[in-house]
Amino acid sequence: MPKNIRNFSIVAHIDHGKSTIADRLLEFTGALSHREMTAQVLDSMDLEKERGITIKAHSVRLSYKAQDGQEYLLNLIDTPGHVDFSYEVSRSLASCEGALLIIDATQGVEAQTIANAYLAIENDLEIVPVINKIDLPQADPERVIAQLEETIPIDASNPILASAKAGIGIGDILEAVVKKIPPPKGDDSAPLKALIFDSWFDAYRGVIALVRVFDGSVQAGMKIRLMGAGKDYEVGEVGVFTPKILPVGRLGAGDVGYIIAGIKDVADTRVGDTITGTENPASERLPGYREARPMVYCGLYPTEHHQYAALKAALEKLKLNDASFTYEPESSQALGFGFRSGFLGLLHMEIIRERLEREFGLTLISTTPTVIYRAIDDEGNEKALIDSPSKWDNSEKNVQEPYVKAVIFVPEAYLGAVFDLCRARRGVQKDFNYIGKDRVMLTYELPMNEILWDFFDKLKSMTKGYASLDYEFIGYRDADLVRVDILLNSEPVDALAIIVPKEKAYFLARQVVEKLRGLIPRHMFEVAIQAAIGSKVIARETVRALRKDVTAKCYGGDISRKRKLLEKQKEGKRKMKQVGRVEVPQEAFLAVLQLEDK
Amino acid sequence: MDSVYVHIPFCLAKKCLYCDFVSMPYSPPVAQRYLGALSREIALLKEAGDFLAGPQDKLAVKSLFIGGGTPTVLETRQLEELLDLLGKNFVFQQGSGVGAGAGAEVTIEVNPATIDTEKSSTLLKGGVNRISIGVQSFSGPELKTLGRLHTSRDALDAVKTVKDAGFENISIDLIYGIPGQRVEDWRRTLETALALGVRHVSAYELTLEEHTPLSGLVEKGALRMPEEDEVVRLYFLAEEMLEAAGFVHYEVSNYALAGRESLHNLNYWRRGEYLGLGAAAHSFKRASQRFFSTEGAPRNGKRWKNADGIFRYMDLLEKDVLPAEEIFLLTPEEEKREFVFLGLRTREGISVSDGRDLFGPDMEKEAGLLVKEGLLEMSRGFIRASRAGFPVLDAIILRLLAGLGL
Repeated sequence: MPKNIRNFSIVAHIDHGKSTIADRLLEFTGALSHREMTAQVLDSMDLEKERGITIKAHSVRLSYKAQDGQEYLLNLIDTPGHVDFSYEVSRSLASCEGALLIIDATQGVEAQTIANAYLAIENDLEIVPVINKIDLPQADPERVIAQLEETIPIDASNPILASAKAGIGIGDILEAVVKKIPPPKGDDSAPLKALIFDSWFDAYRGVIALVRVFDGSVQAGMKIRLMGAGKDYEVGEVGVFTPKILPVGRLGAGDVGYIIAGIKDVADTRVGDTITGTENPASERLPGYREARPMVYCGLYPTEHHQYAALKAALEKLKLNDASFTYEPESSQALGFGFRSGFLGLLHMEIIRERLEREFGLTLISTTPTVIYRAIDDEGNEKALIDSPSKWDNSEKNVQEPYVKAVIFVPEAYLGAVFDLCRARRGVQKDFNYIGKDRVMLTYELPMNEILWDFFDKLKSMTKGYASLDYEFIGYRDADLVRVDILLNSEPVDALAIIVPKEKAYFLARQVVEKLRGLIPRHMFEVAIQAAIGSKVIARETVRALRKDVTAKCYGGDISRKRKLLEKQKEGKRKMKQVGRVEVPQEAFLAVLQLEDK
Repeated sequence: MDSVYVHIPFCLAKKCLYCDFVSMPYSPPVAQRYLGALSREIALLKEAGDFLAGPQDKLAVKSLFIGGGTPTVLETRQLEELLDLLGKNFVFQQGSGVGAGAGAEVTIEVNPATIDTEKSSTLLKGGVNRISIGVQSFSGPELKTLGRLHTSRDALDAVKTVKDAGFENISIDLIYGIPGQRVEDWRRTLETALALGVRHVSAYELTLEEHTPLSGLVEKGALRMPEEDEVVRLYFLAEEMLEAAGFVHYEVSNYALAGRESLHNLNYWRRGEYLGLGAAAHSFKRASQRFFSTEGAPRNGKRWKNADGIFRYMDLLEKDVLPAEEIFLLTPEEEKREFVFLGLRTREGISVSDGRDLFGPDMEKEAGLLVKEGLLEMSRGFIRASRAGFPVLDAIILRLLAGLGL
């Protein structure tokens, strides 16, 4: 067994410096020269760079000559940094023996610090605490150490003090990786067992699967089986990322690398699945596999009908690269033909939507996102899953909605506001603990549809940015909900219908119609906006008819200015969806996400 | 070339608060240099042979418009020089000298505070036959809000001065929708205008242009623009009063007694050609006729704009470089769009048969939908905005163009 391999991840709360630390490790070990470093090398997708978050997992092999004089191969597995992708995070962690837990010296322990630390503990990882940004004047490492000891069952008395930005402590981190994190265990001669922790589709090479080999070995020419998918392939190439792609002869027990095997569909290489040998297969899969289930659904429609085929082709292409999102054709009276699409979470949804528009040049309308509800029969068995308001029936008696357990970190001073917010969102407080003198860790159970949209933004703004949040799905609970329809000039617009708690229906309906009044542009006729439950109208607003809209003059024959204005107006119109005679902008379909709490 | 526009980018001490046109405070030496540059621009165009090739090396045009800025801020001597320059280079069908030919329209914009008897007679002698006075309002407070540097009295005097000098074809510009303007105020301004016996009135809605002091004041909340309903009321009041006095509402913002429509302005909407001289001046040349197109002649209609900066404009010409900077070649689609959005600004409208040539049966079909809604009218072979349609013309155009796939 190779003693000189170390497999580790970096986990942290968002913005605590995970990617910058990773960049420094690459630079320090010479994986990339300073010249080659673009900030946050591992985040290679444009979207990742823009949003400053990691969407996909990555792995990089670093060579490091330690102070003991020996050469080590360090496999750094970078993990996604958003709760939407927590399953992917857990599989990346399962591929490691240790994790660097990065904590911002000025911010201290946050909700995701704890959530990630516990994920690492569940996977039996050795945790190496690193306090980052110690060069900042507000840095308070003592406080961070105290918080760590109170919240996480690890030895935090001797953390590494570092500053990725200033290049402080990077050597210490590498030494700790070698000394504290155990080498991988495993049997090179046993049947192959390799865990897939990420995969993507490359137009030239087919699917590239990132794996951690636990037992056995894999090399080109070998026949392999994907145990979950139940499919066999022949390996074309194995290798590692340095971060440049580098083919190697074989990957043995303890190694981290990639496998290319002529696979055409990423759905065959699901994250969490086990790869074994066709000829000498392992008896069972590695533990922890589950299929990623979409949690949030919305309708995606082209604003112009003729883009339907292009949208379909684009979804097919993206699906090649992302097995975790789903889509099926759907039609809406208001919006025509489109697709009901399922996502891991709201960020995942935004990313897919943005990629569709950016990479495929589509203009899309996405309808109000919804969680999945369950209709239950008298015996308590699931009758149907409801992923769209149009499938909702107000006469259905027994309906359940998904709940999450949310952990909120908040300074004591803002407790009142956070209590109010959680109460307004139908939350039930389950736990309350002081972390240090002035911070509180709250645990709530909340309906998922109450927290998916603007909950975090609200929480942040009411606590001046000090609160942090992490949550996980915990199951379905009975619900008392109703569908509110929205009508424009007396025509129901199916895509604007919303499912809300009965007790809040009037209050929310009032707000939705007010919001829509502000968002629907004025037409040459009056537009009546109504909210109704069944045939009963519960709120109404009117967008008055446009009365004056004409350019006063085109001075001195300046026709270009008029032309540019027309183009701008035309572009604005293109982004709207014609519903009957009414032009509805994209924002209207998301109006329901921006409502005020009582 | 149908028309010529000459831009004089000089004003009184300060710009009006709503103005975003290119201008600077009048400086006699700069203005002198500028006249030299204008002369050079004409000379270079002649050398290029593109536009200025006509009888006696003069370009025949149907209208000429001297705008600004404030052209009459020039000293009498400079006005003479300007008119002399134009007279030497342009001809109006027959005869010589600016405006000598019948039917030609030669307009100059006049600011009430900058006109006197001497300048008036200089203009008349120089061939100008139409005066457009920037009155804007007869209310003192409104003039102040607009940042105009003249009084209501100045405006009345200006009309009298040019009339006494012998001008008969007089137009005045008025603005409505001014912060603080009440219906009665606007009615009084219109009554005063009508009592002056002018032949043409331009009634423009005040438009907030970005980066003007006025838009800054509105953003800060120091001034409040009137509500849309209010503006519509003012618009219809002008239409009602002017039509009752015999004026024809011949374009969105323009009214004239029969035969006194501004040929120069109509030329813009009818997509006639025009040559703009001076800083920031705009020009338009139609696509050449396919059968007669010669090597290198443009296949597309072309719009261009001269250098924006006054000094840049002069510098270029002093180096013998033509100052055309923003050049835009129109695609066939853009030509079609222009046909629609420019034509519909006039009461005359767009010709059904031209529409048929450009769009096939679609034009009548799409326009028909808007006729049903009472926004367009179709008669005597033309499609035009209805009385109710004019104030929402931009929205109508957008719908019509969308219906035509443009």
